[in-house]
Amino acid sequence: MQSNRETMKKNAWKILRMIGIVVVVATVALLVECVVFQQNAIRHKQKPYELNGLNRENVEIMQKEDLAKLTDEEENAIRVQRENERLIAEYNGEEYKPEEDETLVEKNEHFYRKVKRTVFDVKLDNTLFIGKLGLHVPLEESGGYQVTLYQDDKQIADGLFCSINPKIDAGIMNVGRRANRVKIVLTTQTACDASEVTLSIRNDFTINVLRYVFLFVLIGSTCYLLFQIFYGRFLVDKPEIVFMCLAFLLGGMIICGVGTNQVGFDEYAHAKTAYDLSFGSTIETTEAAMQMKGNLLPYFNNAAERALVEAYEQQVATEIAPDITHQSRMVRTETRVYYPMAAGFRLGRQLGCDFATMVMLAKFGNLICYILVFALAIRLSKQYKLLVTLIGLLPNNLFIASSITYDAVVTAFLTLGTVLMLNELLEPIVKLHWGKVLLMLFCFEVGCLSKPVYIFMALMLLFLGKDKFYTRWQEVIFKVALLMMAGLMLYNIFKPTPVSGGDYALVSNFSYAGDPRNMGASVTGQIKYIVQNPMAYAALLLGEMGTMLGDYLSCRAPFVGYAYLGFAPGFVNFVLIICYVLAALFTLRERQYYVAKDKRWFKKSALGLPYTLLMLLMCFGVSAVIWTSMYVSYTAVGADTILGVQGRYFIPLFLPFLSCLFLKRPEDQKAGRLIRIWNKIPARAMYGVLIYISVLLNLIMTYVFIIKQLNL
Amino acid sequence: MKRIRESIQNRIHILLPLATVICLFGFIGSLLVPDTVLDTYHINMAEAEGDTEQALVLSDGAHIGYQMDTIGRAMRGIQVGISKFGKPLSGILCYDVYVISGADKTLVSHNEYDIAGGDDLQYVYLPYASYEQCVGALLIDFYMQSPLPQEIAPGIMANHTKVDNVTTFYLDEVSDMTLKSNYIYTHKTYPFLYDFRLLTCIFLAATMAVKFPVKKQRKAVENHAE
Repeated sequence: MQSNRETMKKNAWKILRMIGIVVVVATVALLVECVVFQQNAIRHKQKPYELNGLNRENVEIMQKEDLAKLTDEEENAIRVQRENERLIAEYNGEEYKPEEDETLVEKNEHFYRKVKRTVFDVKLDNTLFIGKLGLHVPLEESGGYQVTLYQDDKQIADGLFCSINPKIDAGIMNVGRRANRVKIVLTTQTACDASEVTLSIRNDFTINVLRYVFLFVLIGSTCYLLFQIFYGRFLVDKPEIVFMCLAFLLGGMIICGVGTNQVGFDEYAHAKTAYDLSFGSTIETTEAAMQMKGNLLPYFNNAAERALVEAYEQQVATEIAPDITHQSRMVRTETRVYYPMAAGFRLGRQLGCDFATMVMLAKFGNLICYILVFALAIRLSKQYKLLVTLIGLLPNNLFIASSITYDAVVTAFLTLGTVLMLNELLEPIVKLHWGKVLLMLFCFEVGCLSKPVYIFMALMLLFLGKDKFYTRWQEVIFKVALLMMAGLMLYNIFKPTPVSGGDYALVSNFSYAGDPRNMGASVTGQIKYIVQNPMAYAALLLGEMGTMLGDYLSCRAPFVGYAYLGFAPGFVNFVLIICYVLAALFTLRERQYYVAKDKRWFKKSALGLPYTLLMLLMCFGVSAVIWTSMYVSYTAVGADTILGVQGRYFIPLFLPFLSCLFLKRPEDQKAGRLIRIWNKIPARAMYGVLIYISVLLNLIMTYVFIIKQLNL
Repeated sequence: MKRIRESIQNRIHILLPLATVICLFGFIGSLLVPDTVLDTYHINMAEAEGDTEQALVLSDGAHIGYQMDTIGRAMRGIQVGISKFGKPLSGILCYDVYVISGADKTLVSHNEYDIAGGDDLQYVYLPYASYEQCVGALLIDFYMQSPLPQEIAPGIMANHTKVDNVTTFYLDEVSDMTLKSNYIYTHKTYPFLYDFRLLTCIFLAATMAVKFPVKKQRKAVENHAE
C-alpha cells in the first residue's frame, strides 16, 4: 500500500515535471516569436494603408501591349497536350487539328502570350514600412505584377514579382522594406480598369502559429535529445516511441504548412484517386475537388494569400452542386494503397470539415499509416533500430508521408518487410516462424501493389539456408510459393486483371500504353528497341546508373528534398551518408546474436560474405529494373537517355544496401584501439546525436521551404 | 488474449493449410465466375464553342437514324438525352438496331423504352436485346411507337459536333447534327483474382514455416503397434 502510494507520488511528480518543461519550452518559443520575429511590426507600428482604385492624383498610369514568353513547363505542357490529343485522335481514327488560341503566338520554336502591361507609379503620402504589399485586381485570366521601391526617388528594391490568380483576384507579396514611392508593373491578358485595382500595404503584429510550433519543436527536441545523450535510456530502449512523436510533429508541420498547395510529385493525380476511393460507388465531386484533381487550385505564397485561397476553396466546395459520377466498388489493385488517404477524405466529409481541413486530414491519414508501419519496423528490427529510425526520419520520406501520394505506403511496408527479412538472414540457424513469414510477405505484397518491380527484394528469401526449415520439402515448397508470388505480381504488370472503367481498351492495349506526360513513349515500341539493341541498352543503363550514383556521391545532384518546394544543398548528401554508415556500423553489443562465420575482412560482418554479395546483387538488380521500367514506360522510344528516374525510387533499397555494413561486435580484448574506442561509444550518445542531426535537418528544411516560402 | 494466441498456435498446422486451400478455391472461383460490368465510352457529350445543343423531335412518325461502328465489340446499349420539353410526356420510344453489311441491313434487336419513366433531359441507358449480335457497322433507328403531334412529342438531344464514322439521319435525310451519346459496352472483370492468387502463395509459404506433428504421431503409432 505504502509503495503503491509512493509510486503514484513519483508518477505524479514526473507528470508535473513534464508539464512544467513543456510550459517553459512553450513560453521560450513564444518569447522568441514575439521578440525576434515580430521586431519590424513592433518597431514600425503603423496603420494599414489602402488605396481603393488607383485612378487618383498621386498615381501615374501608363499602358502598353507586349509579348510574354511562356515558361519551359508551360511550353512543355502545351506540346504534351497536343501530342496526347493527336494520339487520341489517331486512336479514334480522326484527323488531328490543334485547337486555335488567339492569345498564343508561336515564334522561333517558343510560345508567347499576348499581354497588356499597366504601370502604376504610386507616390505614398509618407514613408511606410511595407511588410506585405497586396494588389487586388478582378481578372478573368492569370496575371502578375512586378514592384520597384523608391525612397526619396532613389531605387531601393527591384524585381519583386507576384502572380495574381483570377480565382482570388489578388496577389500579396512579402517585402520588408521602407519606401515612399512604389512602381507597379501589372501584367494582364486584357486591359485592366485602374478604378477597380486596390493597393494595400500592411505591417501587422501577427503571431505566426506555424513558426511558433517550429520553435517549440526545435527547442523541445534539442532539450530532450541532449538530455537523452547524457542521461537517458528511453531513446535506446524505445526508439519507436520517440520516432512516432518526432515524425508526427515534423510531418504535422509539413501538412499544416503546405495546406492545399499541390507541391508533391504528381500530387493531383494521386489526389484524384484517393478522393474517388473515399466514396463508395457514387462519387460526388465538388468544384473544389475537381480543381484539386486537375491541379487547378490556386497556389498561395504567404499566410495572407493562404486565407484568400482557403476562403475561395471553401466557397466552391459548398456553393456549387457536386458532379456525380459512378465507379465500381471493386477497386483496381494498385489503387488500394490510397486507403489511408481516402479514409482522411471520408473522415473530413463526415465531420463536416472545410475543404482545406479535409485535404489535411487525407494527408494525416497517410502520415499516420506511415508512422505506425515504420514504428513497427523499428520495434521489430534487432540491433539496427537506429538505422531504421534514421531512414524513417529522412526528410524525403517524411515529406511524401505528409503529401497525397502512395509512395509513403510503398516505402513503409517495404521497409517493414525488409526488416523481417533481414532478421531471418541474420539468424541463419533459427527456424522461420509462420507469423513472421505471413507478416513479411504481406508487407512485400502491399509495398509492391502499386510498384511491383520492388518484389525482387523479397527474392533474397530464396537464399535462406536449410537450417531455417523443419524439412527439406518445406524449404522447396516455400521457395516455389515465393517465386510464384513474385512471378504473379510481375505478370500483373504485363497482363493486369481487367477491372471496370472507360480506360479498359487503353489499359489492355499495349500499343497505346506509355506515360501520357511524355511524348513518344510506347511500351511495346521501347521493348522492341531494347530486344533489338541489347548491348546499346546495357551500355546506356550502366552509364545512366553510374552517372546518377556519381552525381549523388559527389554532391553534384541534391538528394534530400521536399519535391517541388526545393532541395537541400548537395553537401547534405554527405551528412546523410555519414549518419547512415555510422548507424549501420553501430550495433548493440549486449544483445549480440549474429552468427555469420567468415574469415578475414568479413569476419566482422554480421551478414557474412555470401549474403552480403547477394544483397548487393539484389540492390543492383532492383535498381536496374527501376531504370528499365522508366525507360520502357516514360521515355521516348530509342532515346539515348533515361527520363523520369528520381533518387527517391531507391529509398526502399537503403536498408538492404546498408545491411552489408552491419557488424558483429563481440567483446574482444585483442581488438585494435579504434575498435575498442568504437565499442565503448555509449548507445545513448550514438542514438541521440544521429537522431538529433536528422531532426535538425528536417526542421531546417521545413523552415526554409515551408515556413519562409509559404507561410510568412 | 494469451489463451486465444495459444489456441491458434496449437491449431496452426491445420489453420494455415486450410487458409491456403480456401484461397486456392477463391482463386479458381474468381477465374471461373467472372463479373461482367458496363463500360461507358463518352462519344459526343459536349458542344464546341459557339455551338448549342438542340432536340431532334420525334413527332408525326419521324425517325432518327444513328449509324456507327463498334469496331468488333458487341455493343450493350446506348445512352442518349431525351427531352420532354419540360412537359410530363408519355409514350413508347422504339429503337431498333440493324447490322449493316454493304447495301443490306438486318434487324438484330428491337427494343422499347417508356419515356414516362425518365426525367426531362435525362441521359437514359437504352440496352439492346440480343446485344451479342450488335457488332460492327450498326444503324440505330429511333421512333415513337404511336405517331404523336409536335406538342406532345419528345426529342433526342443533338449538337453540331462532327464525330468520325458516325452519321445521323433525321426525316430520312442525312442531318448536319450528331446525337449526343455514350456507347455502352461490357467487359469481364475478376475482382478477387489478384488477391486470391497472391494470398494462396503467401499462406502456402507461411504453412511451410510450421512444424507439423504428423510424422511424430505416425511414428508413435507404429512403435505402439510393435
